[in-house]
Amino acid sequence: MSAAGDFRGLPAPARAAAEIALNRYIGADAIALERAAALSGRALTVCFTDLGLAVTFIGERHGLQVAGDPEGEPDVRLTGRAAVFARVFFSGGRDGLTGGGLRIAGDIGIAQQFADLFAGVDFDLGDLLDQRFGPVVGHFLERGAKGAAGLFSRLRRELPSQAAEYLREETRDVIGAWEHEQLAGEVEAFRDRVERSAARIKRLERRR
Amino acid sequence: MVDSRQPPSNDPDSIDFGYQRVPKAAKAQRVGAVFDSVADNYDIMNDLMSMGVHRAWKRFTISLAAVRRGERVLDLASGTGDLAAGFAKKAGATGRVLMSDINHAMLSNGRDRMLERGLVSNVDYCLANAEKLPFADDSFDCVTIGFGLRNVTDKQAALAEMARVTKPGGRAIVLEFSKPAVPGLGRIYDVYSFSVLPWLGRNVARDEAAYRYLAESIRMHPDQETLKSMMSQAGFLRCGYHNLTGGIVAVHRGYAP
Repeated sequence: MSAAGDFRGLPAPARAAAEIALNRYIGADAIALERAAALSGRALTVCFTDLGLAVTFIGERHGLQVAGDPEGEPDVRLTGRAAVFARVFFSGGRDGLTGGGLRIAGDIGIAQQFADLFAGVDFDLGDLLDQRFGPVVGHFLERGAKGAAGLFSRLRRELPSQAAEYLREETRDVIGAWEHEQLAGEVEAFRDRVERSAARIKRLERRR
Repeated sequence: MVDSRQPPSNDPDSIDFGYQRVPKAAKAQRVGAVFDSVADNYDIMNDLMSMGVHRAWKRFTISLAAVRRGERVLDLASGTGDLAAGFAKKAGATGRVLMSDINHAMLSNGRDRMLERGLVSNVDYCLANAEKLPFADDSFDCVTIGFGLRNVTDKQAALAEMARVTKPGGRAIVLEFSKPAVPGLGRIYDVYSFSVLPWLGRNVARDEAAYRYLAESIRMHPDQETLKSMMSQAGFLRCGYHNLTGGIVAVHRGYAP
């Protein structure tokens, strides 16, 4: 059993990848770097109840260390569902740690400092691509990435309505609102006629 | 049988040189002779022996070090400067990278390679023994040693020196061959180390003995957990390691108190 109780740690390759990615973002943001340095040696263990995973973040002068288990008890341990952590850590700190859904054991001040650090990391895709591929290639890659993101966003927005139109107009598998209203009106009128006919039949039976 | 991790000798005046035991005072000289011999073919042999994977190991190490602009970095056993070149780019004009090696031929080659890479303004060079570093306490934000620790006579002394010159909160990183952690990989690795490496040494570098020493020195190097405890003993905090290529190589890291 790990220091995080029944939770299993992230696999080492995933920890290394997470640490390198986080530190790349933190290194590009002077304020985030200062916040990480202020947490030097402090440990936050996050336990995801729905995933059964635990991961420990340790503040360092140059960023964060992502560890399996801290040496000894962490300064603070947060336990909750992954969606709650996403809301807390990536909401820009608006919701705070006490918004509900998290169990906090330890120094809440340290937890808030980590939350501020995660929320404040300013991720600039252009800067990262420039560093990696140089300004010219980086610029084209950034434009390509933004174009792809725009296309994805437009698709996500327009795809449902276009799919519905196709099913309605081309395949006729689905009816439109006006057709539905017309059909509903016809059904209503038919029901009225049936009820009238039933009433007449009853009246004729009573006269017999 | 090719694999044979030799049991350590109890003789306090001798030290391993590959599978041989030599007087402690003689190891540095004999390692020096090996590197004098391989210096000119060092890069091409690294590419051949690792099939190019050493570049990925070094890139990972550079990423893990997360060197920031303005930081001071000491790269021990710098060799031809693959790590130092990565650090120099990250440290920027306001930072400083000090390439250090005990071997003059390797350091000269390293300096030439850095000039060829166009890295000049923020790189310095120092011929130094890792066991007795000529630097004041708390001088560097990051201290690294890549594929060099196993050649040091007194590894514990070198680690202690690394801890001494690292600023509080700074990190030390050791990239070194280690013990395969994947079942079955060890046997394949042994065959490769004791058959292919000496063959490459004989036919490419024209020095079979040097590359036999390389394979033997890897086997005599402490495994992952032992090196981790040695780093803790040297005074580093929060020590840990990442296995690469199934544990053939490991990157150890510790933080100065």
